[in-house]
Amino acid sequence: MRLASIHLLLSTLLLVPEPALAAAGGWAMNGPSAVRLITPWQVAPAAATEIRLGLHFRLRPGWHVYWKNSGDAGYPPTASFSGRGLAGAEILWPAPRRFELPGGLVAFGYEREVVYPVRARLRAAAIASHEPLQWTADVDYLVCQVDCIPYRSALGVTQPVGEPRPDPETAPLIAAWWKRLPQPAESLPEVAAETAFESGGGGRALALTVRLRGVAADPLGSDLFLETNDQFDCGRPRVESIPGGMSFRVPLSRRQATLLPPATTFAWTVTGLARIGRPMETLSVEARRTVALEAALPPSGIARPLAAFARGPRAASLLIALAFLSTLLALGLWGLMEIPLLPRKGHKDLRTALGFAACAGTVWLLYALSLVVGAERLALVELALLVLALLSWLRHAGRRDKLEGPP
Amino acid sequence: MRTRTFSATLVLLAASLLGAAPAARAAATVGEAAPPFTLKAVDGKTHSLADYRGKIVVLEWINPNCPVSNRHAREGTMTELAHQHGEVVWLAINSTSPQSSNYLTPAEHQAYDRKYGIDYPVLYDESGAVGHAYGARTTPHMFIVDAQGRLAYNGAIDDDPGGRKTKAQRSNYVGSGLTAEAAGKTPDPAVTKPYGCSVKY
Repeated sequence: MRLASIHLLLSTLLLVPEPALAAAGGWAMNGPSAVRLITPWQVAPAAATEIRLGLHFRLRPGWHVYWKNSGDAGYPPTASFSGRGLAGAEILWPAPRRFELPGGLVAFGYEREVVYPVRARLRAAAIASHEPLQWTADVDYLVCQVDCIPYRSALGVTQPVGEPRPDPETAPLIAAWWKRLPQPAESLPEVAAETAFESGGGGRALALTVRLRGVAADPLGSDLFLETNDQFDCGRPRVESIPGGMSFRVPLSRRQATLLPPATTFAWTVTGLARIGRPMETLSVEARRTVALEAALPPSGIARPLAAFARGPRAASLLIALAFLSTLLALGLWGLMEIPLLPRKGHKDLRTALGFAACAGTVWLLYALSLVVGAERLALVELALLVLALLSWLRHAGRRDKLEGPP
Repeated sequence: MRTRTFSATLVLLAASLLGAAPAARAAATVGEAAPPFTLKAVDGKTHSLADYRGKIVVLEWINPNCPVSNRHAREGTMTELAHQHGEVVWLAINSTSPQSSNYLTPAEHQAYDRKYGIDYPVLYDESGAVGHAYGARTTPHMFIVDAQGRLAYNGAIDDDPGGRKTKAQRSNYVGSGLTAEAAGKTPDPAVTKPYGCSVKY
């Protein structure tokens, strides 16, 4: 153990990345970052078929490396592993955090220190020979503050095999980061996860909603991260407490104007959760769900071509203007407002009926408008129409009183 | 008469108030009109997207102080592609804020362009307005605008963020997109995830 520490110290001091006969390879020192390959064993068990390695990064304060979806910028680290007895290795991704960048951009990743757990499969024959195994990882990564620096490092570690002996430094370190891996929602019987796709505004106002029951937000706050889906750009999630759980709503915007496929798959990770009744245990949950997109589009056959037409603010203005005109028409037909060319006398029942028809037109136009604008603007338009009707009735009542004079 | 004026005023007021309110979020979408812009190049000349209607335009978000953008300058990724597709208008846009430590003066940028043989216009978008209109997030971040002025591609230059493959091994999405456009087809993929440093807005 002391030898291992001295070796580690030496390789750190000498800044030389070299294979080390220990649970940790030498640090590769790259500007604001240092990275090494670690194993949890000083001596790995000869019967092992899988081993939990780690890519251990230390970063200068303010610098970060990336999650599997790097966010708006950056890119995640990649590594190719090789060596005797190694049948395959896969980088796993602990719960990330969010970094705010200038211009409203965000990055997802880790700062100060991170161990990316690596699940490595072993060839039984090689490990049974009890000879030390030399493994290398050819790592590419980007480290960013506001500025970014790409690095490439060849890391190595030599793993003795025999009577198993865990390393007191690296074994708990790898275990601690392994615990920070998100747990599949399916593996948590007390947690119910619901993923839904919402579409309003004629396919313009899209959102993904994830509701988790059986969990509460950790005091440090909860967040949702989506893996990249090329079809959509993701906004910031709105996090809310709901009875017995948490809700996350992520606004999506389409990157392509083509028709949406009937369904698509979203993979999400929710971090900063606590199990209800066990508030001290921080939990991250992940799931990969295929959701139907077609069902969420406007249901009415009439609305669909209209939704296709009604893109952008000019269509909204046109619909608003038409809604006002049809309301004015109704008010004119009912005799509450003077409108040229409209008959003001005779056929009273017919005029009243046509007024209702004009109102029906307004309702349809407002429905169409609801596909283009948000609920608040729609409510404002409706309020304005109501004020218009109220004012014309007040003027009409005032004129009538003047004509009729005091009783 | 007074009633007419009164109602017309109401209609105009409401329509202008409600219709002019900004839409939720307007990012450039592939298949729709590319956001128009007029920007000044490092040499002081003005370029408008509208000037190039009828031609295919490539937009490259650039930042010489970003090592990823700089690697492509060193490797000649963009300049070679621009020369291979001589029919295409290639414009680089630098959206770095003058407050950023990454900012270069036009003279400094011109020296950089000469050093790496960047012979296409480099436009300055100091306010970041054009970058935001396109949703440019990284340097490099690439867009193809087709001859009709529609956005045809939005994403990465290639599939090799770390730059470990040879040029021949890489899938260059802009290269294949331009070949598709020249053949009257649409780029496939039309959207990818861009990689690189964040745009220094």
